[in-house]
This record gives sequence, C-alpha cells and structure tokens, in this order.
Amino acid sequence: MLSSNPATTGLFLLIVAGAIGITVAAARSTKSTSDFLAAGGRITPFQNGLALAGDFMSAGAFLGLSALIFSSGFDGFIYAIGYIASWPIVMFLVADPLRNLGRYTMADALSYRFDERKIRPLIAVISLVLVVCYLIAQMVGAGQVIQLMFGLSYAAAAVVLVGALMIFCVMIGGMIATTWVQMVKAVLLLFTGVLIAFLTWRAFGYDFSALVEKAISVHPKRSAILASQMLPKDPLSGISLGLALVFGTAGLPHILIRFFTVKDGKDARLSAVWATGFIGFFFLLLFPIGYGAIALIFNDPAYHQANGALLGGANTVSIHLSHAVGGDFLMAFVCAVAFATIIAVVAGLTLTGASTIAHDLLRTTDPVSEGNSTRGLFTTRAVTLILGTIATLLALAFQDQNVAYLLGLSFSIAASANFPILMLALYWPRLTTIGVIAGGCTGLVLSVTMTVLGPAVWVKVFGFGAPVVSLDPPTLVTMPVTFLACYFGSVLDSSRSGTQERARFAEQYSRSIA
Amino acid sequence: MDDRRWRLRVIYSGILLAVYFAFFLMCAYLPERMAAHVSSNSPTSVAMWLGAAIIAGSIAMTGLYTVSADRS
Repeated sequence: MLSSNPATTGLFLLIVAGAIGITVAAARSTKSTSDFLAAGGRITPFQNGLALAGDFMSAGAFLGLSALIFSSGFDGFIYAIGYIASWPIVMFLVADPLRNLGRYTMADALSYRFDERKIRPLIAVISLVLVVCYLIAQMVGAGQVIQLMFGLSYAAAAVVLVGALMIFCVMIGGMIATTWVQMVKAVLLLFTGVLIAFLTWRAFGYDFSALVEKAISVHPKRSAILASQMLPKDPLSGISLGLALVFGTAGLPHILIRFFTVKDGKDARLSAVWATGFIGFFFLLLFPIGYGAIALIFNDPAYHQANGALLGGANTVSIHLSHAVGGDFLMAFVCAVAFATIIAVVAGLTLTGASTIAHDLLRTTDPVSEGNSTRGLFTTRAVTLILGTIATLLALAFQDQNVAYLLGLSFSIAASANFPILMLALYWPRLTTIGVIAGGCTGLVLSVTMTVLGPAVWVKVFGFGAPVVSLDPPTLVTMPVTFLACYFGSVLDSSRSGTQERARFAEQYSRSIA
Repeated sequence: MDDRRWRLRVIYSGILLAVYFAFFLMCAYLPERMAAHVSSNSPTSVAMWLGAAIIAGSIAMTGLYTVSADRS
C-alpha cells in the first residue's frame, strides 16, 4: 500500500540510520559489564522515565489499543486504565527498594538474603519465559508493520531485518544504546500521538462532543461503545484482567532492569514519576485517536477490503487514521515511528534476556567472568548474539500463528510469579528460599497451564469448541495461589538456613529504604 | 516496618487499588449507570470520565508520593 511512497523509504532509512548512529556513539562509552547491563548507573531520572515510557509504549499499546477501541469502543480503555494504574504501584512498592538492593537484575535484590545458587536460576527461567513470549509477539507484529510499509515478503525480510538491527544495537551499544533508542522512540511516539489527536480534533472543529457523536452514529454498537461490554459479560475474567494489568508491570523484567540504570533509589522513584506522566499522557491521547478512528474510517471504503476487513489487518487503525487526517506523508511518518517502536522494545527485551543469562545463570557456573570486565563483556555480547538469533528464528517459526495470547501470558506470569515473590521478599520477614522456590514454580507452571487450557489458546489457537478453564487471564486464581505457596513454603521451612534468612530481613529492609 | 515510608506505601497503594477495582466492579455490575451520559449536552459517558480521572489521578499520585517520600 505504501510501497510506492518515497517518503516511506526515506523515513524508514532515517530511523535505521538513527538507530545505527546512536549505537555507534554509545559503543564508545560501553567499556565494562556495568556499562553494558546498566549504563554504569549514569542515566538521569528524566532520561530513564522517557526510556521506561518507551519500553512500555510498545507497538501493542500504540497499534493494539487503538485497534481494540476501534472494534469494541471503551473496552480498549479498560486496558489503558489498567496499564497506567500499574505504574504508581511500581513506584510505591518496587522502584526504590529494588534499586537499593540490586545491581543488574531482579535476582540481585532477592539474593540479598536468600540462597542465590537456588534463587538466580529460578528467577532467570521465569524472566526468560517472559522475555521470549514478549519478543515473539513484538517481532511477529513487526512483520505486519513492515509488510504494510513496503509490501515485502514477511519471512524473508521483515523479521530478519528487525532481528539483525536489534542484535546490532544491543551487542554493540548495550544499555546505553538501548536507553537512547528508547528515549528517541518515546519522543517520536508522543509527538506522533499529539499530532494525530490534534488533527483529528481539528477535523471536528475542535469539538470533542461532535467527534464522539459521529463515532456513535457510524459504529454498529452505537452508544454501547461508551462503556465496557466485556466486563458485564464475564465479571470474573474482567477482575482477573484487572489484577494482571495492575500487578503485571511490577513483575516485568525488562521494566525492572531499567531501575538499575540510575544512581540510587530516589532517582529510581523519580524515573517512575516521569514514566507515569509520559505514559498517562499518551494513553489520554487514545480517547480522541480511538473514537476519531471510528468516526473517520469506520465507514470509509478507501480503508477496507471488499470483504469489509480493514486494509493491512486490524492493528493498522492508527496508521489509517493518520492517512485520513494527514495524508501520505503523515502515514509514512507513523509507519516509521511504529517501526522505531518495535526496534526499541525488542532491543530492550533482548538486553534483559542477555543480562539474565549472563548475570544470573552464567554467574553461578562462571564467577570469574563476573569479576573480569573484559571477559564479562565478551560473554554478555556473545549471549546477546545467540539470544537474538534464537528470537529471530522463533519469530519466523511463529509467523503464521495467532500470537496475541503471548502478551497476555507475559502479564499473567509477571503478576502471578514475579510480583508475589518480589513483594514478599521486600516486605515479609518470614519468607525463605524454599518459599520463593515454591511460589515461583507454582506461579509459572499454573499460569502457563491455565492459559493453555483457557480461551486464548485452547479455543483460538488449538480450535477446540470450549475452553477447559474459562477464566481469561487466570490471574485471579494463579496470583493468590502463588502467595499461598510462598506462605506455606516459608512457614513450614524449619531449616537453619531459613532461620538465618528471616534474621537478615531487618538489615535488608534498612538498606532497601536507604 | 512501622516507619513513615511503609505507611506511605500502604496508604497510597490502598487508595489507588480501591479506586481502580471499584471502577472495574462498577463497569462489571452497573453497566447502565457507567454508560449513562454525564449531561444532556454531552455524548460522553460516566465510564469515560471516570477512566480519564483514574489516568490523571495516577499521574498526580506519583507526584504527591514522591514529595511525601522525600520528606520521610
């Protein structure tokens, strides 16, 4: 569709050149493992807030939520409200204690008082499952965007291109390059959101009521698009979704590692303030963008195929709206920003996976590399190359699959496994290593099993008539069960090491609020 | 854990989660009220305004918390 537009090619090449330029510049400052994994702790709160916002405002948030509002109305905002409400929780409960206790990963904070030989592999496995699920979903999405931009063969070009650029950025520039790519992308995305919202608002004479009235008049659900239809139909699944959204962010490893890039807990807290502001502002823009898309393109045949389906797929709503209000150039610009968004998010995810393997897994078998910057750096870069290649191959393998469930699964695992462990480790004195292992294993296995047996996989992927588990997502069950597993694992632990771990809580708590 | 920072964490998280889940429960169990127009002149619904208020309130709470935490 856009393949004949020279602006698309020019803007796309500009994004690629920008990412390469940032990476090359960042490579000069990346001299140690600390630089590679945590930017040497030299990122400012404002910069980290922008980068956190960049990490969080993924293609799923930008393209996916506007598509959901387009098809279902207010239900898209339910997700936006859940996502934004999760950030104060991250800030109140996690940001500063995590930074004060750790160096590079969440497992560092847990290793403060628990047995790291047992904790690090467990947290690494949970983190890698989360990162791989997220990576596959993002890279498959990247294929769709690039296909729309250039009409390229998806398998041969799009995923391989994203994978190659992602590996280059992370391997050469590490956390410094990833942070700057995230910051630039966040600014571009915020600018794009403001521009589309403003042009949409202008198209209705700066009258939001007129915009909503038009949306109601053209949407087949009429005024039902002004309130949730999903929650009254299945309240339990709705509450479960609310739990996954509001607590999931506090367990996402690629979000948590960003708090190690600032110098102390206070800066980590300030980073979360900036991030909440940027993300909240962006999600507020989805009101005019979502309803504007309904009003302007829902009944316009120029954006639909003969069978009524949207050109380029359901997730291209924002891109079509940009064309409706700003013409070919704005559409090309939005495509380029969407591409930048994907590159930035997959780079952040790859770095998280690499730091998990190099720092949490290899540290236990190869402690020498941890102390030796040159060798540690080489190991981490080698891990990045291997992980990036595997992720690219997995994305190619999943190209024709419905992978929408992977993002939901990530949030479910994060809320059900990582979040309970982190909360109890930071605030419950009686937690022991056995409690952490019991909770982590329960949360991970239960989340994956119940998601596979639920509507998202059992019905939509495997094609069975009815799900074995109707709760979707299963967080309403999995999260409390994980808390219980941690509780019973700890209170039944009468070992000497358990007693010592409980005794170390006071020291850990003092340090966490320092 | 009876320090001021801990109390701040509990109070702020408690308020946010109470409002957030009250919103979800209202959407689930009072759909007609949430879909009602806020005024006869405006097509916008109660749910839209409450949703926007939660987003704006989340931003405001992080600012307030950080000021309080810095003083503690």
